[in-house]
Amino acid sequence: MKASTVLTVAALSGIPVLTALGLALTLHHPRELTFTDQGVSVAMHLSDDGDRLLTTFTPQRPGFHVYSVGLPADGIHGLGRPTRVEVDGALRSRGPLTAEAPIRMLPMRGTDLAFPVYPDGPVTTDLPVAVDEHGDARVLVSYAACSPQECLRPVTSHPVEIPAAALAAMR
Amino acid sequence: MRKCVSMVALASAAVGLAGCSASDLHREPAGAAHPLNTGQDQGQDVGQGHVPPLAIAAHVPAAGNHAQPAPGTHHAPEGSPEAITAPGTGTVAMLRPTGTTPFLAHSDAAGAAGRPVSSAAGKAGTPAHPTHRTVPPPARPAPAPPASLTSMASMASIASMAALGPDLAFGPQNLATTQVLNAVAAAQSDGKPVLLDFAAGSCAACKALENAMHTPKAQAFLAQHYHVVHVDLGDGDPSHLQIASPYDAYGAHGMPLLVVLGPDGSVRGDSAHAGQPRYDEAGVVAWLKQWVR
Repeated sequence: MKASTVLTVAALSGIPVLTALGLALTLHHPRELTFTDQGVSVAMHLSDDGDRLLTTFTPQRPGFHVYSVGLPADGIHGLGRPTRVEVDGALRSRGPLTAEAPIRMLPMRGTDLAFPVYPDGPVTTDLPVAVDEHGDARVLVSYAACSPQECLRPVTSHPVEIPAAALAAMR
Repeated sequence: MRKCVSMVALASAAVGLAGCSASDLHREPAGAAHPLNTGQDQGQDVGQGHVPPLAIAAHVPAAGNHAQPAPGTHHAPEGSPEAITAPGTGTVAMLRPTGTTPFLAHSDAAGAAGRPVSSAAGKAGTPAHPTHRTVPPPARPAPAPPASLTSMASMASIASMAALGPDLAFGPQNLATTQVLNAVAAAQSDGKPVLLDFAAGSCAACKALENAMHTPKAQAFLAQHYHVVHVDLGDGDPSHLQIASPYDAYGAHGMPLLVVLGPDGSVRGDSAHAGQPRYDEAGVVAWLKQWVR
């Protein structure tokens, strides 16, 4: 097939394809729960198979990151706070929280300490879950956003209440 | 012909992408679309406005060395609602916007009501992405003085607190508001500026700054040129957050936050706008030097 033919097909299909893509993105959002706290937008939804709770943390300021899920609860020497997603009620955890983003060790100036953090910008965590047919669920979200020069106040156990009907709609 | 076809393809793709963007922009905000979608966003900073910084001025009657206010500032007339009297001290502390510090506003509608206004903005269907503006909005009325400041001022003993050294430690007994008032009062008597150091125990950057501030040269410089008040934002004390809020450029309590007040209580500078110091001895001293007159 000639290149010009490909381009012509692309031109003719571009509008409907991309419009459909936009529509798909729009339709995707009603299943998503979001909140913003301490400079980080948090959006969560269940995977298509309903087996995983995917939570995306997006620091709103450029140059900011969140800490690794593997950081101890009290940080290192009290510094830093891990990213956490905990579930309760109709959502039950089936495994540890993970994130696909690569971890980098951020050294703290003037010390020999280094902190495991994700790259600047959004990171998505993955929590294997089981969903009960009935009942409400509750998700507790914790994190802290920092840049090398600055930190925002840590968010500890921000509650997201999910009534049964809403939980069903998320699936 | 190929060029023409290519242009058509690009235009088509652009229209398609625009469709995506438009749908994304017009998607329902979570709070409006889903009642479950956190009516608990009390900490939400979406749409939070930023109020002008407050200057805390402690006026000692007949003080001859009263510093000139910064350009663009004004003194509230004594006896006005802005004035807070500290009985028994002969001291009046006034809160007023300096109007001199530029800032970013997230939302005019939200900001007009002062902080915090987060959940209202979210529930009203405001897009979940704050719009940053670099043009300062019109002056807004100063928020009411924190109640805690009033009560703190009433029990403040300026004279006894003025003897505190430059390194006031964090702690549960840290009456930060009192310390701020006392530091400003002390600044009035000796002309040194006040350094407000907002930090939290879990903040790694704050620890780096703290280490740098505890180096010999930085300590000596602070002792000679500043009255220092540390305010712990990590303990959740609402009064501490109230102190920080007017100075917080991004509306989310970025830390560490250093604010330098002149003896008249006006803001000389802060790290949110001037940038953080380099977190070493020389960097901290250089940052502090720029505000000393």
